[in-house]
Amino acid sequence: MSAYVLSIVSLVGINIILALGLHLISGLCGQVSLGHAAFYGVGAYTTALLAKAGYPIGLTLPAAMAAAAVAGFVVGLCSLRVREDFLAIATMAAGFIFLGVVKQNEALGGEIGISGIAMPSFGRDGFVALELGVTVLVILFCLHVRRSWLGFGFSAVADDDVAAQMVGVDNRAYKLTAFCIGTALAGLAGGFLAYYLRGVSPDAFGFTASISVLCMVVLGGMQSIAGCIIATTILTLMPEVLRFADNYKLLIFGALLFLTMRFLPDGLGGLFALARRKEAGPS
Amino acid sequence: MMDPKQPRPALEVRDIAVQFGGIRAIDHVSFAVGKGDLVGLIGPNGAGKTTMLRVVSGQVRPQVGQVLLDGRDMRGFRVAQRARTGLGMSNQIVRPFRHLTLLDNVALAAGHDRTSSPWVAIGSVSRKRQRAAAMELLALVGIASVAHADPRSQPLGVLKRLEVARALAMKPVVLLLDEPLAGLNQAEAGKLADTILELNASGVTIVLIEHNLAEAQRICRRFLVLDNGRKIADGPVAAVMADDAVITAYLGEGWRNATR
Repeated sequence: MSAYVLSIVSLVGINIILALGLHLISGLCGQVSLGHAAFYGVGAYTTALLAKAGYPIGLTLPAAMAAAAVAGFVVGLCSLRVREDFLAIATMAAGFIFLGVVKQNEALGGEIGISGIAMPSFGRDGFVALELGVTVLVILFCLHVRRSWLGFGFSAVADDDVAAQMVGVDNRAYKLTAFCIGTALAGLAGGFLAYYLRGVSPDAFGFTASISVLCMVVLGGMQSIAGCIIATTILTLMPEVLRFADNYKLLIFGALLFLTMRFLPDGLGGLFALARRKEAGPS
Repeated sequence: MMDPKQPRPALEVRDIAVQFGGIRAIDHVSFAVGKGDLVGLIGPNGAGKTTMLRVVSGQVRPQVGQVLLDGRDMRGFRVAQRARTGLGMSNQIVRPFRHLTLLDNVALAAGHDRTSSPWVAIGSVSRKRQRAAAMELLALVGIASVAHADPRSQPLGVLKRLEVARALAMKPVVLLLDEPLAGLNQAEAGKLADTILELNASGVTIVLIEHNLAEAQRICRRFLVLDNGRKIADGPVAAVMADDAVITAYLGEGWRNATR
């Protein structure tokens, strides 16, 4: 495979990990987050700093996940106090706070960011293999969560968190768990991105990035992991395949978000379910 | 005070007072519900029934007083903990999980040992045993035929029964039913009241909050009457319904004067 294809494939993998993180929080557990890119950024900067200090990838990535999960825990505490529209605003604010802190901090490279991160010792191909392997593990993990009683509890909390408590599901513990796991995945994706780009800059983790991820999750369908993976792949490849699309990325993502919400609220996942029912014939 | 020789009550409410701003919603109310009892908590609109229910369920924290479930002080217990300790709750406005089938609505409650913490929950996948238990409960309340249906497609009568089945799946020490008959037509209400009576006969302790006095009188053994946040009567149904204070609370002074 050419270096170009490899690089596209790794970007798709990174975005899948990132989007599945948000899928857990917003799709499975029903907690809107408009600041997902901030945790992506926390992971990327943690990795960048540690890699520059000479730590190996086996340490930088777990550290990236842990740092993002701690940040996610703190923002998750907000979700216990506020819901829906207020939570959306609170998470959006968390995204801006992250950006504000990073841009003002000289140790984090300010507006420019951090560059010159070395590829791990096993080289470019090895890195892509590792990243894709981890992507598969993340997909399997999310499928397990969905099937497990944790996913069962998440679906109850997403649906009606008072009724969830009445059947013994501690909504606070479940929301915090969703935030911690989801943001840890964002941190992991950020860690891979830091190696992939050989550096980090604050602009990659702004509000636009948060909305792009949200677009992937919404287009995929809030309830469908397969839909989320397919939507992420399409939206990642689109600017690469259609060169002109890159210039209109914001316009296209915005329009997609609007059209999905208006005409396909269950996203691609809902479309698959509909197709399956059609195939099965009228019951 | 309870007689020490008597068995421990299933639910005991001691000296509960709740104040919302300047309004005293509940004014030092105490009562106990014995195991196996079927008690109707009644009173006119605004009497404090719903607030009392929310105090017992843990949604409202009282300024004063204690709630004891099977002898355990519930102070500091949130709704989910109370539910797992043995408080079965059904809602007046039905709240099914809309994205789960009726069966899974009940199975989730039946698996409350699996969902006790996210750590336990992530390690467990099979729902087989809980679904079997849920199916039995749906049959018990008479809606097993629609077990695999989507709750959004079901009429209110079915969803009211779903609420009861889901609360029963918590294996409750006490079942709190908040106006289970409200919104049902007379025939449906009568049938659900019969189901509630059967549940009680099988040993479930029930506190029934109800506006449908005819049905409540028919099935309850005991009435507890709240008015303006105070307990105004507590005793056998016939005696309570003949009580002057209760009649006044429901019908007003004018009615009494008119009949004299």
